[in-house]
Amino acid sequence: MKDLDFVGKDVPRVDAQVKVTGEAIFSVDVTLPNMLWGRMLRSPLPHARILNIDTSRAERMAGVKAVITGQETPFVFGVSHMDQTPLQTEKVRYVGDPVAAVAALDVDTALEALERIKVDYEPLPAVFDPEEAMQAGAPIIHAGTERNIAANPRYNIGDVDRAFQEADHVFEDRFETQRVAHVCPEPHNCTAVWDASGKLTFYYCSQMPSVSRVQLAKALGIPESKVRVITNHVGGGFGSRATSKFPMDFAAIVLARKSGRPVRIEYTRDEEFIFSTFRHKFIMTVKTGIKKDGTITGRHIKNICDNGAYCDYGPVVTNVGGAMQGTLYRFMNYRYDGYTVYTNLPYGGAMRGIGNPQVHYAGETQLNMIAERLGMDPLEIRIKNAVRTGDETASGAILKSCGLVECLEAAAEKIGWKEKRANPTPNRGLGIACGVHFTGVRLSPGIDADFAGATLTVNDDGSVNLATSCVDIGSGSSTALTQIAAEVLGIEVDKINTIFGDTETCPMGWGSRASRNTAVGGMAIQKAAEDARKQILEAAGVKMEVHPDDLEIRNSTVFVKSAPGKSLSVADVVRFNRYRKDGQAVMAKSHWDAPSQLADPVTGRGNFSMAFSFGAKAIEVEVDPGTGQIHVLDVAASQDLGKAINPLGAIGQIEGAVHMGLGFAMSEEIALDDVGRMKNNYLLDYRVLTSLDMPPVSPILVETNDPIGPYGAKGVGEMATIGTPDALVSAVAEATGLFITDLPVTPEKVLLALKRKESKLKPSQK
Amino acid sequence: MKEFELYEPKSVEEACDLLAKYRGRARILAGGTDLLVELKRGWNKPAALINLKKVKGLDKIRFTKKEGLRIGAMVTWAQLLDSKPVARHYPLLRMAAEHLGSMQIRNTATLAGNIAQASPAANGPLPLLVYDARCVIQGTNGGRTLPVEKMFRGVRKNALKKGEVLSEICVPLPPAAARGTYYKFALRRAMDLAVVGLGVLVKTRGGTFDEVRIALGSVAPKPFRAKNAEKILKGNKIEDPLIRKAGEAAAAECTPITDLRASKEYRTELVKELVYKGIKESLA
Amino acid sequence: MKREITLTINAEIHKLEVENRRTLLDVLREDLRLLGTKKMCDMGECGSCTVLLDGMAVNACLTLAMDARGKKIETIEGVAQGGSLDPIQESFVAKGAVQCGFCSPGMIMTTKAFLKKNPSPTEEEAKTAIAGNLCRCTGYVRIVDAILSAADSVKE
Repeated sequence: MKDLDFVGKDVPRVDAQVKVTGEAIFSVDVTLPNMLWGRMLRSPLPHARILNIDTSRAERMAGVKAVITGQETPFVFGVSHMDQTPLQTEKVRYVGDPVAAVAALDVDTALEALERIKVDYEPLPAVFDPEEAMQAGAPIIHAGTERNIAANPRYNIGDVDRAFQEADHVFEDRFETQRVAHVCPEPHNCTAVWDASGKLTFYYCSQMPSVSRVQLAKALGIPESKVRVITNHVGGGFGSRATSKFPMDFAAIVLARKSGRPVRIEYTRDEEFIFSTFRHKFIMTVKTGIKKDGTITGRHIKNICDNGAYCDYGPVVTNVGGAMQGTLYRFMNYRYDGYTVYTNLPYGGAMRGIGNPQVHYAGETQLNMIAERLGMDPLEIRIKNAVRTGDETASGAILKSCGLVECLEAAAEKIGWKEKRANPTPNRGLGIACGVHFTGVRLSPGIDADFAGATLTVNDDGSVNLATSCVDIGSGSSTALTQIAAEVLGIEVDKINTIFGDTETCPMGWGSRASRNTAVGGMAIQKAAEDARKQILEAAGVKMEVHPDDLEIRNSTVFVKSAPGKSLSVADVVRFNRYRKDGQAVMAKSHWDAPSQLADPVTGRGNFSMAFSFGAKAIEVEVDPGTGQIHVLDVAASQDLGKAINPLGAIGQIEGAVHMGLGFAMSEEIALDDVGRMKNNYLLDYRVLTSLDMPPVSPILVETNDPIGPYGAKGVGEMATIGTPDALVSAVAEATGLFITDLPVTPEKVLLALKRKESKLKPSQK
Repeated sequence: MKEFELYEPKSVEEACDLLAKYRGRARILAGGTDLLVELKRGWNKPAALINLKKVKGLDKIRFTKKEGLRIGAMVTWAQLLDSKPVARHYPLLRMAAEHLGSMQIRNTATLAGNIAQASPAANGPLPLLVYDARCVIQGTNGGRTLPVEKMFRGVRKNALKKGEVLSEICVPLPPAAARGTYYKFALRRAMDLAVVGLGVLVKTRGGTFDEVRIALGSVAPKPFRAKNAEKILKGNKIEDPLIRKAGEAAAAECTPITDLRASKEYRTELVKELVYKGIKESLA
Repeated sequence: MKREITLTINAEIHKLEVENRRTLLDVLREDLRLLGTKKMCDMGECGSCTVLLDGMAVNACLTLAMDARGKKIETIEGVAQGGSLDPIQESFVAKGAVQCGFCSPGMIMTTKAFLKKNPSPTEEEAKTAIAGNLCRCTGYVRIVDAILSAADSVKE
């Protein structure tokens, strides 16, 4: 196997220069001539019938150029469940549900115009808790949805009841995780403009512009050729922009059509927190059967997903959480009952890990609780049950590469697992957890697609134009894809221009989600580059009168293997090829569909991803028993990513994911009031960790060389988000004797739990 | 923000006159890091802002061994961090500065503004309470001084009358050989408000407490000195159980609330622990 | 009521008409189309709008344009000199400190002011310097690395 020139190297990001100079244009930086500013009017009530909307006073206001209500936005949309319209006409289902929108010369005028719109509501009984919403007699939020259950993803594999009978111990525990926000640095924004031919150009910070295009065209009832979506650099996505449409999108589009001018709608930070979706709250019970020797016989997980008022990604999120718990350990008796339940609250969506981190938290924490109850080593219990390369798991996943055991051992070693557990320090504790995530996926019911596209042109000067369907939302995908192209072509990275985001110039694909860019996007790039390389070698063979098999390309030069002195620059080859008789350009295309399947509709089993990434987190904490404060001393984050196309990039992704995981574990929470308004929708009281809060992090890359992905690569970004809260809670438990089973683990929870435990132990001293 | 008139007086007197003229509908703009957020959120819609940045001399820190520290109304937290006399003689004030906001905020925000905004969670009052600092106030009817503790009337309510401006803060030298500490117990290590704030100054003689000053923040509508806790220690032998008792007494003097950051139960427990720890640390 | 003011930004003089309430951030982005300074929160809680006023890092969203008169204002657009990246920018690129890039201008401006005052920082001092700059992508590790590396390269 030849040495690699670009893949596996810490190539600096191809877009870093424009970002460090401030030249990089994000969607929020786009302004168009004659542009208007849009704002939406939102319901103040959590559940109410709309009796009347009077926009006349707003329409008469100076500076207001268009006002719309739901009458003008009769578009139905959703991800898997089409249950949403942009502006409501019949009823509102959460505080914030949009009912009207205006476009005006400036934001102040738009906001004032909103105040002049009069809406008459008839309040309806509302429900804010998913367990209550599932009870008979609860208010029904979407007509025809029995007990407010929008979706019920289930897995029923093997025989879980028998597994419990055969077990030596059966444990059942309950866990809750909180809503957390994406906190994308760039707030949601879009700009819509129609031209005279009836074509819509839509600027949007999308993670999947070509899918946005399809779904917008479908919803608007216009041909796809009449919709152009343009995505520039994206200031973070984390799944919030994998949703193809938001109410704001349609509002801007219709306002633009009505006013005849471009319309921009952008969120302020306080809107961004709660109206751009967020990680769903899960209420989970985990029942596990286990033998004396630590072998898990079976597991039954029940998960109630607090959906909020509309589905968005809710059913997929609920499904994913279930699928992945059947993919981590070797037990083959597995039941999962997921419920995606409507409530009269703002609605969640896809967020990095898309349901997986939450259910992992429950499963992994319970496993650590079980280890403690049985006096077993949490590391050993995992190694005993871990899946391995070649396994077909309970969920139907076929593991062509699996570094789970290596990850566990690497994380444990880095944190000093054996030594520190042999010599424990008071108030300190270690925790370990592991996880699995997919690389691209087919888990959206009814959506049987997981492809990426690439087009490639080699120019006369030997440079390359590369267009990908993958959007670089900050993860470094453009760089990794460029490295893959460079490696295949033998052309240096800085000669390759990689573009994405414009549906007019870039191919169709499922964009940036499910950790698929490097692998799925990369395979499309690899195939296109191989094709282009073949064309170059054939043309060079003609020119140099040599068989193409005797040629290789390095440093943009075509060399004759058997006569190294003989060479021709790629540029010369391309020019020769173009200008000779019956000349050709060097151009290639690729559409690569990941080899995965939708699940069997009855059992839920299927090999739903091309590859699975594994990882482990080991964390050491010190807890101050007087205040409950948790000092995270060290985080070891190991990850099987198949092959690190860009090791520095992968490390950066893991470090960022640990930051997000620690926030999820300890400090972040969307606090809602009793009708669902967010109380802490500002960055002072929604606590994203600052630089001073970050503990030392040791990312460890484990390469298992997956047989399918480009150079063996698998996904990184979401797997890295899994396991941090699980390991942290377990470390805190070792330090304090207390397992906290609802996130976040705050100092207050720890101290008050310690005090309660103290008072239980010494009743005579009270 | 809604538009406002903006004045740039050349003297404090001029600022007072403008304030009086606007009869409560004008606000003083010092650093503005708190005020402008109020305006952006719509909590405040003043007709005018009176900007102190052009008043000469307000950005000075003066120190003499006799008078102690004199901090002008436009002195920023960054300046306090850079100040040698503050580092040498007022370590608690320096610690409060280190724990405030961010570098960007410290470059802009003022100590005087921190006092005048009268947030119960403010960093500034705690070292000042413990150092027995005084506020120098100028008004249309002349000037007066006020102990810092008396500057606070309630949550976000200061003791300035109409037409008055806080122009200077005077901090006498702490007692020789006194040692202390400042804690800001918060949920993040930067960019956060105290869940419980503490300033402690202790002077011992032989094995007894000679002087004890304990200031608490975020546990009552106003920052205050925990006088009962101080009384328990002052003049008595230095013993662990007594220090614990002082912690409990301090907690009993608090009236904490439950808010986004913490419950009142937690705050109460924290006061007991932090007062104990703070005094122990000051003795070490 | 708009007032005529002059602002000196990256050594260029700009004449503008602004209302008293306009922040420096909005004037930079909307009036002058200097889009490198970002608006992430507009409340001084994230640092992405950091600019330098007479060499000091401040949040442009909490600075009135009127208060920026007579000051030497530096934004990210003025950092690279004659087409060459500043050592801080080069370090950010080389050390993997840039992911989505939205916090990067603010981080770089903060770093610029910081290293001028503290050319040989410790890791803890570097972390403290950027504690007011929020990043959602990197976990800050590579950014701190870049700051320390920039400090080293300037010394050479």
